Amino acid sequence: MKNFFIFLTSSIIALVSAVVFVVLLWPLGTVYRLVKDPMTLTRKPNSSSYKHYSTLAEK
Amino acid sequence: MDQYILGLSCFYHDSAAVVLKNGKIIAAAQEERFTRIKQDANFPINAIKFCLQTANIKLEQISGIYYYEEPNTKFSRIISTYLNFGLSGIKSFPSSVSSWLTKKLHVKNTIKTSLSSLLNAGERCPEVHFIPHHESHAASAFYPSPFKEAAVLCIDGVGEWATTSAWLGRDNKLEKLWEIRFPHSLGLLYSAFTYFCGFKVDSGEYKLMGLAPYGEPKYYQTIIDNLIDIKSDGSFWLNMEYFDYAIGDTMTNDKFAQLFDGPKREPESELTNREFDLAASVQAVLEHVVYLLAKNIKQETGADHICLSGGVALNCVSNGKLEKKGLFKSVWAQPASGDSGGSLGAALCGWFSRQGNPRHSDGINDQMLGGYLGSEYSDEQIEAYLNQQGAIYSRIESSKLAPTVANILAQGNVVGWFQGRMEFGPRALGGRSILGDPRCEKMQSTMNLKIKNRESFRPFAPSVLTEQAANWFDMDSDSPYMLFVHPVRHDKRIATSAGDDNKQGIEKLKVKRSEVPAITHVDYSARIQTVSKDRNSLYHDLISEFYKKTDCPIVVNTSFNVRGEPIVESPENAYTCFMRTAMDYLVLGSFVLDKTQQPNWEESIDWKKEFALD
Repeated sequence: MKNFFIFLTSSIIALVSAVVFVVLLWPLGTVYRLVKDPMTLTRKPNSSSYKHYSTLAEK
Repeated sequence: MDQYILGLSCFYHDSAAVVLKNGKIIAAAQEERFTRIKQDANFPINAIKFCLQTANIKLEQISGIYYYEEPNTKFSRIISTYLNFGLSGIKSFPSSVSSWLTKKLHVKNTIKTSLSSLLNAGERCPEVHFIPHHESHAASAFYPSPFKEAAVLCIDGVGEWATTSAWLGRDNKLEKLWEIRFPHSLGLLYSAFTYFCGFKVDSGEYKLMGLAPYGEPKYYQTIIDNLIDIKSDGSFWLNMEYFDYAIGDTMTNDKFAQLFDGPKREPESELTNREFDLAASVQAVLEHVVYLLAKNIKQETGADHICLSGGVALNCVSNGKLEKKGLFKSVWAQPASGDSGGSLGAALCGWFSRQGNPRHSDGINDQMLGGYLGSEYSDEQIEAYLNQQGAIYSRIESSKLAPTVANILAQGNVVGWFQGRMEFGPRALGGRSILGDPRCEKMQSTMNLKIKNRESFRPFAPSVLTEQAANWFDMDSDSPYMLFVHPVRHDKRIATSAGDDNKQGIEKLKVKRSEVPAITHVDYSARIQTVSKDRNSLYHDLISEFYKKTDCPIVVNTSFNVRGEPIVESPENAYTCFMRTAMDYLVLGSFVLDKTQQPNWEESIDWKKEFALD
């Protein structure tokens, strides 16, 4: 019975996640990428270094 | 009053637990050793029980539990990644988010619930604290190191965001300098090639490293031109058009396959020159980046010493070459550099960095106790088990054990060696080892195929007396944790013919290259463990006796397990492994067992199917 509930919960979460992805995350992501690409995934940054300095040792 | 800290790593791979007593490491173990599930990711309840038992305390006496990651930050990275990859992430998003929402985001609760079985009524569970993943790695490298001040370089797959980070350690403080962030990861680049060459990610990286000397770095420029942009300071950017690991189920995609002349190698299929060359190429890229990063850190910090951690610090070929470059006076790598060592780093971070306790270092000795931090069994416990099994054994008095076993080894026998405390980390260092005679030409293939049941191309490591190491290998520093590869000295090599030099791929294995062929890789390199009297007296005595008999101060040392099996933990694991394989002798504590005298060993199941191939 416990396994059934775990299966049910996971399935519901997975279904809701898929809906959230299509309705929210995908459009949001599209705008996000147009404005900013913080992880430089799709655009190679024009930079002499790819380091991220910590706030303490900002250079 | 004594203060105890518990460090934990779990839920991804290599779960482990560590207990500190007043900042000193008392016990550390990986969960896999107890559950017999390789790289077990489950909550390390058995490892915790062992740690508490060794410290002789109850859970309630622990002042704080330190976990090696920050789940919330990691989850934010997952969501940001999906935001960046758009529609292509829809396939993996539901399952990924589901596992995060149901399990991974609730680490504090999961830990407290899982520990409730160790608490009596009225006892409270210690507070759980999170330490960032790379800070855990950095702490595991710096705090146990011999240095008062050192630069620290951590390189792994990924933690929260960081995949590479640099730190400056001074006394009890660790200052973060910079980091390189996901998805740009040197560890994941290496894992992508591991996957593409047909090996398992998170464990097959070692095989790829061993494969590299069989090939030529023919794809080096292709990798540089297409996959990775490396700046002069060593920082790098990966072209994600070729990789699938950020949101997909695989490491590489079709474009990657097109770049490297066809689809990935299927696991267990025949290795071809392409895989040899790919391994050599990505290994060369990795070494180049590590060198540039270290050079840059040297310029930034001016430190005399460097400490290494993260999974890439287990790349002992790269470590050896970095040491040889002489950028730093010394290079120290954490022996449990993978995620298991995160538990140690988290605990040490809690003690030094968060609680501000003072740290003392003598500049010479590290605090890892030779890596022997795991479980141990008394002769009484071993004898009780052997009697229960009906095993035939001889009890040897302690002064005669080393000469007796040295004699057995010198006759060409393979010996299972189970002594003292189990090692913490992936390497067997003479506590749970299989030993052999390195002078024997057939030893490498015998141990690989008949005993370990693993691929024939994989090299074996030597354990050499510290005082003799420089006479046999081109090295001038200590390597007690088998984390540095150095070449066999020229005067110990054997001249090869032109025909031998022209051999390709696995054929190279058939050439005798030195006086110790069993531990000499095809490029004359060896992954060295130096053995000193103060770290492991009995093991040192054994090799010394072997040296007296043979003029060779070296033995072959490989982990006591078969392919896919975690290293043995108990006498039962050791005896079972001994009886299942072609090992000739087993030495458990003071007891020596000859295979030919043992009762028949029958199993109703095919034990080779018990462990999934790694």
